[in-house]
Amino acid sequence: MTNSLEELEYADCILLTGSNTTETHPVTATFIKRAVLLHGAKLIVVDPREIELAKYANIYLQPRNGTDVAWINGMMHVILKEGLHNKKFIEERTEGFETIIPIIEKFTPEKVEEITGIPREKLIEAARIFATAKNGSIVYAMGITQHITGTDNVLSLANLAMITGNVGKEFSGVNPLRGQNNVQGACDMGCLPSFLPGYARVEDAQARKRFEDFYGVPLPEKAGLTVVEMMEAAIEGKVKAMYVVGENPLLTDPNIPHVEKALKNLEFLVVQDMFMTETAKCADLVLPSASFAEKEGTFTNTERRVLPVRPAFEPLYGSKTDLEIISLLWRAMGGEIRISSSKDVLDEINRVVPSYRGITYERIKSGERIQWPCPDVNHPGTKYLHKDVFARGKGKFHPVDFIPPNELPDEEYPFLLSTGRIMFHYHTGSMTRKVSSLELFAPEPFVEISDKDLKRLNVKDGEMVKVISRRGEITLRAKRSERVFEGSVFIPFHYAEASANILTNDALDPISKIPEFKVAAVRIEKI
Amino acid sequence: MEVEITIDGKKIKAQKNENLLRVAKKNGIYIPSLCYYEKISPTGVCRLCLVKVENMRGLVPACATFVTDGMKVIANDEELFELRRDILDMLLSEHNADCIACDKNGSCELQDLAYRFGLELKNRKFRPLWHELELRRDESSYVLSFDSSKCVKCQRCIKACYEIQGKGVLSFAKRGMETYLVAGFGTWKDSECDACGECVQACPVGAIVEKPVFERVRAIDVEKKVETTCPYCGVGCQIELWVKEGKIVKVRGLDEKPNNGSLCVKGRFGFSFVHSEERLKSPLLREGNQFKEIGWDEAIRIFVERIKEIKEKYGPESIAVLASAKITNEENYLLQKFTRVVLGTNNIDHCARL
Ligand code: SF4
Ligand code: SF4
Ligand code: SF4
Repeated sequence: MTNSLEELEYADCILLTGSNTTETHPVTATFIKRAVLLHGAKLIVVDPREIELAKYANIYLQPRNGTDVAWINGMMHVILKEGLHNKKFIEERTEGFETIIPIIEKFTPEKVEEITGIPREKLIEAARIFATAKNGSIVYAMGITQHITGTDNVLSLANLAMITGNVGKEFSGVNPLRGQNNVQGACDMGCLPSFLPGYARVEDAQARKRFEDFYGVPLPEKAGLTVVEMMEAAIEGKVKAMYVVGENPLLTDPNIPHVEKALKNLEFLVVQDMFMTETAKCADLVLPSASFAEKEGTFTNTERRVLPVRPAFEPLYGSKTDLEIISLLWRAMGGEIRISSSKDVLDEINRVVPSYRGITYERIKSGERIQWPCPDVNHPGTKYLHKDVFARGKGKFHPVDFIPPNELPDEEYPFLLSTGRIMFHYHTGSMTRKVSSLELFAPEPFVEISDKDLKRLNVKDGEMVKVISRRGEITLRAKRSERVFEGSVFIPFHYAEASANILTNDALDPISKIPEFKVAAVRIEKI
Repeated sequence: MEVEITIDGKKIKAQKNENLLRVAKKNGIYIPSLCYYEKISPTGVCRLCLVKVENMRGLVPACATFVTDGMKVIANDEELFELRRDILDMLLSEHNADCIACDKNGSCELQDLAYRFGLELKNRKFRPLWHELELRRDESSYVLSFDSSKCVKCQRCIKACYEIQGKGVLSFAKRGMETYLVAGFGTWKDSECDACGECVQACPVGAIVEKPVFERVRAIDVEKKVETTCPYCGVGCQIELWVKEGKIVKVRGLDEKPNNGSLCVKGRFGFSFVHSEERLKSPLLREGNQFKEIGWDEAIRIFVERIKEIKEKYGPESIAVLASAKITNEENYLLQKFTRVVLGTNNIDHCARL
């Protein structure tokens, strides 16, 4: 996020899109609700599903799945036409504004209505509300990124923020909500195929050299493979061994049948986890790891805040912390490793990752919870980004045109499927599904279907149905829902017994390599 | 703007329009209160914080009074003490003070007040009434229990649910002595409750409590409290794990950024997985369709043998590593370094995109 969570509460206007915040980031949703209920903020919700926060919204727009670029361009069309854009900001802080004008001109409210289904008056009203707010904050999540056009969607939102001057100020910015507890940290630490720690490009010789000097060894020069590419390479026999730490791709990756084939094709699969996950069941070697309550270290949250993790007790059941396991493997591989505690590692992180330089073990121990970038030990951390300049100097506008989703409903697969989370479970459920009270709240998988479609299918609320896509099929309970529109269905992906990702499409965004989880075509059969 | 006021003869600097109760508390002047809760707007119903202010008629609740320059306040004198004691005495007559069996024993604001004001049974003026009122229990929530005989009707839960959680699930039904708390239109289970537990954290007494995870537990039984970070979502709520006999028995939200005490159902109630019998208990090696338990030394040896063999035969690009969005920064850092330096490949990713 460019802003802090606490700033959300005091924004004048929040544009929330592609995030069912109540279910995926529950406490973040409370900041948004308080902004509306206690501080009079205007809330615009744009989401194909009528999520809980739509009830709090001043205006709710329901676009068809995968049509985000169209409505965002449409909002900019209205803003430009009515002269509501922030000319001063555009001139002083950005470049390339003229490049987006020809495209934006095409997206008249009428055209947007045709593509997205959003009534033109509503689009115009939303555009006016957002453009005239003093501080407007854009909040989004996977509903924006998990499309083949995910990168385009994000660039469009950035355009919208810049055209209205809503960047680099307190309370206003473009704020992606990161899903899992330490996604932000895993990226910061360089657990990415093309980036070293601190987002130093692997293929940038100078950046690499800095790490080579520090590590004292030459580093591989070519960017590596992404998760989805790794699976592809395993099927082709190029990747032979895989070491999976605390992940469960057999439930989280799109097109599970494909992933299963990939994992089975490996010569050696090692899985390190707390539980016998679906992926662990395929492993050749399984290493038991400790839970968060048994280790020391840090997590970095969605607002870049580095937070303490402290042990309540020693690793249980003969498990070891991931830190200890990796160190043991390292030593056994014949390497020299001078690291024995999380403190040692953080000391090293302080030295090689510039934005973490001032986030020292001592400061964390003393109770500070600092937001990066924090360039030195006296720096208080950074509440919001891009204050006077963007990281790259001037903010660049990118012209983005609308491309329809990769797979759309047709006669054979007439329903549009999207997937996501629910509040009571977390990710693959490997943790929450072992908590009995959480299971009571949400014990089994379901597919949300609109009332009209239920009638058409002659299926009753609560009956079992088969959902089938080009990739595979699952059986689960139908649930009547007012959240989804006619012709679309929603399935949470936490449940191994009816895994939504058996159905999802693994078509990727060409740049971010994010799969299109939010749109797939399915058929529903009564059983 | 800074102003100067006097409380019980003591000169105190404060910000104009700060609330008087807060100013007093901050400056170490004791004024009893029950319905006051920092995080919500003042309610002024318990009347325990009544004080005398010069040039103001009658007694005023400190929690709903804003300080102004030169304000002179009497916060404690004999008359106020007697009055507060009577108010408490009355509250106690409506309260099922079965402290022996209460989750809140030792951490209850009403118990503390009764103790402070010397309201042991023999000193009470008002006869117990609570058992004449209709008892309403709500056990329908999967995580909370409500017992009306413990409720002091302070409204803290009602306001916490609306003003902090942004929900508004709770309200009072009926009036006067018969007032009682309801969730939604009847039961907790059928209400719109998110099970966030904000109301539990706000309740000063044992009226709303968590259902036990393993066994009942009181704050005073807890052996260790550990401040850490919720392991679930990217908000990173700050939590305090309450540990007893080596188990996490309860969780509180910490008043720190980013969550300021708030949690969701997972962060507050989702921890028994740590102690699950299903946890892996030893390294496992595949033998055909089965797994065999092996020791750590052997597991490490096998990892090294097989990985070295594959690396030699097919090159480092034949190895891939999946890091985790669940493990710590330190662990992820070390894992990427291991992958690049020891295994010799950039084939490392995690499920950021998923
Ligand atoms: S648990 Fe949360 S949502 Fe439910 S009643 Fe209490 S405060 Fe309200
Ligand atoms: S349940 Fe607790 S917080 Fe709510 S009114 Fe009763 S005593 Fe106050
Ligand atoms: S308590 Fe809930 S909102 Fe907070 S970090 Fe945990 S899962 Fe996220």
